[in-house]
Amino acid sequence: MPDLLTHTLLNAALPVGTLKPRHLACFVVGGVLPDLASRVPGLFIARFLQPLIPEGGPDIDWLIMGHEFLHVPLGVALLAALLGAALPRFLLSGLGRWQIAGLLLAGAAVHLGVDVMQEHLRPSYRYLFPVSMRPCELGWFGAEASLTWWPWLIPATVASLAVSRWRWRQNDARPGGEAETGA
Amino acid sequence: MRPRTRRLILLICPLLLAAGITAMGRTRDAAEVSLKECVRDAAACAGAELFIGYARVKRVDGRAVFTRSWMGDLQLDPWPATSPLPSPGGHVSVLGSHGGGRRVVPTEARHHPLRRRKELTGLTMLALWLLAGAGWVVHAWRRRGA
Repeated sequence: MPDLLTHTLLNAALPVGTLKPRHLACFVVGGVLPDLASRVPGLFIARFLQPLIPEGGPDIDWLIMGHEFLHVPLGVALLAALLGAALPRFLLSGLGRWQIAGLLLAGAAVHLGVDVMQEHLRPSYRYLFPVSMRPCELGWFGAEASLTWWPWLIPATVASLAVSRWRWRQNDARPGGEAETGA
Repeated sequence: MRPRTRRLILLICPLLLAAGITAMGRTRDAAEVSLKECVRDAAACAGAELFIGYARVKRVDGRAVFTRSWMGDLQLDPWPATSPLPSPGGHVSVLGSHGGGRRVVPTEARHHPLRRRKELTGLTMLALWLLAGAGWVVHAWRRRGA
């Protein structure tokens, strides 16, 4: 995976004024969702839970590997639908549940799209699961290349957010805009 | 989203996610040979290719590289002549074969000089995301009460 910072900046920069603030927030969260849902639990289990298991105890390697399911399109779609349905009403911020699920999924699709462009010593993104276990990788750049990119993404993100802010203000100033309707 | 659809999603999605995680984990576990299996039964992984990802180099002794990965301590020995020897504190990934015990004979190796930076960036971002999430929940809760 490129680092979380690159995914955050990229998803914040891509919409360039086409999304309203709350929609953009959901889209950006979607951009980090696959890593937060798959890598973080996997690393937590490997680092903190696995060392507690004594030699000869139950093997939980499959559980660590299994979290990769939350980094494939099917798993991400199920997770986005679940989050959209499970959020308590006070956290919806005026958005529809399907809208939230759709925006999370769109953000996650960008994430998976960027990840598939990487190259590893052994390819590991099994995006076709459960149809196939064959890993997919385009091999256009290394897994650590993103660390040299994010300084360039910051001005792009700032510019994109400036355009978005200008459009939000225009929209608010228009009769029937968001500020008036309170939507 | 209709209440009935919502209830259905809340019931079905966790089950499908659990089934997916189990299926992915079991399938990968059965298809891939891990060093742990080799340590338990060397014959079971004879001739199989081992992948050791992002292991941290603890020390280098001649062409033997001693590392720590999520599979525990391991010895990468002899380090392939085609790749420069890593330094302690660095991160490496290798493809190789089992060399007995916790020893792996690498055939192909890769250095990850930016790994530590990537981990730090990831941890910082994770902390920021958690803070932002907590802030959002508190803000929404207060607004709800207002």
